[in-house]
Amino acid sequence: MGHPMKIPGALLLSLSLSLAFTACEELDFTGMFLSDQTANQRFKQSMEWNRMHPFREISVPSDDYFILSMGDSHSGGTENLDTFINRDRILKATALVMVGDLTTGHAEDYAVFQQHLPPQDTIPSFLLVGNHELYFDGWEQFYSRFGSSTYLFTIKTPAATDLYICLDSGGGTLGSEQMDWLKGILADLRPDYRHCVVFTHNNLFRPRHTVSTNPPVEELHVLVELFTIHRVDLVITGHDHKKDVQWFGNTAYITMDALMDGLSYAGYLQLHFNNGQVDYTFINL
Amino acid sequence: MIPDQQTPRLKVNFARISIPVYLAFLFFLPGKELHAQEPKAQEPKAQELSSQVLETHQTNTRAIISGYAELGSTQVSEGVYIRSAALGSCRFGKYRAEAGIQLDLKSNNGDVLSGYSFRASRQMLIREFPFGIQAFYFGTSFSGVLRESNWGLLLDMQRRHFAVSAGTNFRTYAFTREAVDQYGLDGGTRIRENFNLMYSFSCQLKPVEHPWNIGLTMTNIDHFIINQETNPCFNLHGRYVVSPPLELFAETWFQRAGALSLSVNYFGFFFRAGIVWDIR
Repeated sequence: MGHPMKIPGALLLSLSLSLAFTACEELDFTGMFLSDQTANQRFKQSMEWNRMHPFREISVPSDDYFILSMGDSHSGGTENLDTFINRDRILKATALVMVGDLTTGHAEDYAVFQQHLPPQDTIPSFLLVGNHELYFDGWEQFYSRFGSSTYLFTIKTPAATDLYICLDSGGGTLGSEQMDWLKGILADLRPDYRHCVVFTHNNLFRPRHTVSTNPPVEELHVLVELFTIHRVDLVITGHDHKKDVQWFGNTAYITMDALMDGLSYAGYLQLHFNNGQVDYTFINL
Repeated sequence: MIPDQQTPRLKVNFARISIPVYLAFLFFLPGKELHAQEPKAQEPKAQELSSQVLETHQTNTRAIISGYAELGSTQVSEGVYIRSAALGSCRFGKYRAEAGIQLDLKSNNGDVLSGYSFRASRQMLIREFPFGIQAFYFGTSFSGVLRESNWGLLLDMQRRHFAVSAGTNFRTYAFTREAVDQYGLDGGTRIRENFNLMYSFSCQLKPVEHPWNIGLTMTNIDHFIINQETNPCFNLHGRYVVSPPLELFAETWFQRAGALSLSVNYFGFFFRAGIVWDIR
C-alpha cells in the first residue's frame, strides 16, 4: 500500500496565493511578473493612431483661459467622477485632461467610465493610461475606446500658443521609443511655443513613503534634464493619490489628489493662464 | 507662477529618525572582540558560522582591491553602455574603510567620472550572530545637468547560504552650478528624499566560505546607485577563487520598472565581470 500523498507547504501556499490573486477584482497580480504589452509596443500603437488622428489644435478667443485635470478616479464607482463632470466650470474650461488610473482595467468598468464622460462637443477631453488601465489586458480596452496615450495638443490664444504633451508611463517606464519621441518633440517644437505642460501618470519624486512606483532613478535623471533644458513649466501627474508640489529648477512637478470615490480629500486641478502667466489651483470636491 | 500654499510643512517622524540613530549607536558599540571566537565542537552552527564569516575580520590589517567592467543597456541608455569601477578597501580588525570610483567608458552621460563612493563598516557579534554595519556616502552623475548624492546606514547579516541587508538612505537630487547658470534656474535647486528603504536578499548554492559559488539576489542597492524601494533588481551572480589572493566574479542584472505598479515593463539588463585581489 502506498504512502498517503503529502502536499508540500510551499505548494499549498502557492495555490492559496494564486486563488487569492485570481479572486482579487482590483489588482492584477500577474502584472508583478509579466505585462501584456511593452512600453514600446504601446507607443507604436499610439503612433499608428496619431497618424490617423492628427494632433488637436484648439483655438480660444481670449488670452486668458483655463483647463482642468484629474486622475485616479478608479471607476467602477462614479460618484466623484459625476460630481466633477457636472460642475459648471467644466463647461467653461478649454480642455479636460485625465492622467490615468481612470478605471480598474476591467472591460465593464471601461464601459461605465466611458458612459460618464462629457461629450467631446462640449469639452475636448484628453485621456492617458495609468498602471490600472493596463491591468487585465486593459490596454486593448483603452486603445479601442480612446486611442493613443502618447500625443500632444496645442491651445492657441490671440497672443501665443501653448504646447501640451501627454505621455504613457503606465508600465513604470516610458520605454526607449517614447523617450526618443519626447526628446524630438522638445527639441523641435518647444521653441515655437510659449508655455509647455507635460501630463503623465506616474509622479517622479517620492515626497512620502508609499508603494506607488516612480520611474527608475536613471530614467528620472533623463526626464528632469529634458524638462529643465527645454523649459517645461509644469509636469502634472497622479498615481500617488495625494497632492504635492516640488519646485525643481524652473519646473513645478505636481501630483494631484485622486478623484476616487470614498476619499475624503478627493480633488482635481485647475490650470489658469492669465496675462501670459500660468498658475494652478487644487480644488477638492 | 505662485508656489502652492498648501504644501505641507516638514513633519519630524521620530520613529523613522530612531532607526539610523540606533544603527549609528551600533556602529560605535564596543562589542565583543571578534578574534576571541574559537568555536567548540558541540556549539551551535551559528557560532561556527560566526567564526568562519569573521575569520577575515581579525586583527591583521589587510588591503583589498577590486575592479570590474559592466556592459548593458537600459530604456534610456541610447544603446549599449560600458562602465568600469575600481574599489579599494583596508581592514583594521573589525573595521573596514572603502573608497571607489566609477567611470563611464561608453554612454550618453557627458561625464567620464560618473560616480564616487566612501564606505566605513564594522563587524560585530550579537548573540553569536555576525552582523555588519556600514555607513556610506556616494555621488553619481547621469548628465551634466543633475547630480545625485546618497548617504545612509546599512545593516547586514550573513548566514551560510543566505545574506540579508537592510537600511535607510537619504537621497539628494541637485542641479550642477553650470546648469543653474546656463538655464537661469531660480526655483529650487535641490530635492531631498529622506529615510528611503534599502534592502538586499541573497541566497547562494554553496556555503559562504566555499571557493566557488553561485547565487541569486533581489535588491535595490548597487555600488553607485540605489533605486527606489519599489524598483527592485534581480541578479544572478557567481564567484571563483582562482588562488587565495585572487577571486573572479560575474553578475548579470535584470532591471524592471514599476514592480509595485503591478504592470511591470522591462527597463534594463547588464553583465558585470571583475576581480578581487586580497592583499594579506
